[in-house]
Amino acid sequence: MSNSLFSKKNMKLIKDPLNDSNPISIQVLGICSALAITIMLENAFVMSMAVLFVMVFSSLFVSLLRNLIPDRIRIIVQLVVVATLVITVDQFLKAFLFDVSKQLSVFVGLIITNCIIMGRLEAFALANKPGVSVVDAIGNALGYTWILLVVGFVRELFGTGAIWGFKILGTEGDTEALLSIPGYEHNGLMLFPPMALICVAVIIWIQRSKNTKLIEAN
Amino acid sequence: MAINKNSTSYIITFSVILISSTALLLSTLSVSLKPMQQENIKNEKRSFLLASAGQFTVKESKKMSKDEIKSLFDEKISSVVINYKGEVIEGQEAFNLDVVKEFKATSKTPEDRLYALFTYKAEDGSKKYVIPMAGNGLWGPIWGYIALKSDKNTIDGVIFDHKSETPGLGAEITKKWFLDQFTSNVKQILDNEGNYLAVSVVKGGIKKPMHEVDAIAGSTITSKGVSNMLNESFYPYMVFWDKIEL
Repeated sequence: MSNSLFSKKNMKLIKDPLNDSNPISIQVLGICSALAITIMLENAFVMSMAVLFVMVFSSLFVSLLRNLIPDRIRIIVQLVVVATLVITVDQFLKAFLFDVSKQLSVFVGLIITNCIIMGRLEAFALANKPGVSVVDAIGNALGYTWILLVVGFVRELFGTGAIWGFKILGTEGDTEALLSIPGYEHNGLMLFPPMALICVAVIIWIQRSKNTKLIEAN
Repeated sequence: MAINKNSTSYIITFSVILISSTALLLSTLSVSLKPMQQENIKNEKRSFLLASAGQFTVKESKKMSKDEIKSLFDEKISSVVINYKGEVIEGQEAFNLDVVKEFKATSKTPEDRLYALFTYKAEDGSKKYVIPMAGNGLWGPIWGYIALKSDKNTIDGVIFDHKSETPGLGAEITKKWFLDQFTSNVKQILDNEGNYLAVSVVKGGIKKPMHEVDAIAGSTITSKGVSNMLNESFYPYMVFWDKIEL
């Protein structure tokens, strides 16, 4: 018996990773790229899309092959699938989005090591049908995406005064900026990785205070 | 008949099929996308050459079309290929000379390598000289373009790039703050007597403002790589220029 695409079960698979089981803030996976790639919103977005693509197709392929993969080499097989997809993404970026590929530089290759992807393959795709595996992948990728976009937005806006490259905030006399505020200075600390960690920590803090299911009983 | 998934023969068969299919897929992809990737790399090289000579900033060039950049390049840049002794080598296209490849070719010593020299014609008719160079960073090759004013001595602009240096550390060599050091005050490659001195990247304070720039904190090896690259790359060009002035 197959579920319809928008069945309650599938919706739960998408909604849960957005909040209750968010890969970054709750499962605490994939932190490395969240720190490094969120200096600019555009990079954070492209990285999220790349991770979405890799997650969806790796979950699909691993799920399709789940009854054929020998147990003893299953991690290696997962790795091969993920690596092949990441290299595919990298080749396409170099051909069609060259500037973006230069900005992401070594981090595209590091998607292979992103724990979220292997985590979902092990925890879900290996034991579930392709359809639901894809839905689970989409859910987790979206959970990853929104965190990256929020952190990227904050860091780029307060670090360089821009959003997606468009200058919004600036000091007095800054002709490119939309809002020139006398005495305003960009927060250079925002451009350093520790600030991304602090932003994620703040998100975790807000999430845990508002989401009653996550508050641990003392 | 149930196939034993964990039998050795099954594992081997499965692996072979998996590896061959992914290898086939990736090689097909790589071959078919290569022309577009190469075109992007060429466009970037042209942009860097023009930007180091001051035609535009790298940021501005990203908004221009590839054809625009190519026609500017063809119009303003002429080139020549020389060897270590400063002799012109005919039949070689300077733009196609892969500086990083020449540098890394283990069979070649500096004396064997070929060197490209680009001449940029500015709006007012004056000439600038752009020298491409390559060196070793921490994790991989680094390269760059250095533009000299018509006196063949004062640095007019620099651009550096790398393959896999660490973002925030070695990768800072591409950033404006590092590059601006080379042009914020007068930097020259010859000393007062006309002897070759080049520009070095130093730590712990600059003692010779015309010949030194600050290293990047936390990336000693990349900074050293840039310094060595700068020091070793000018020699054939000095010889060439001496030759044509004779």
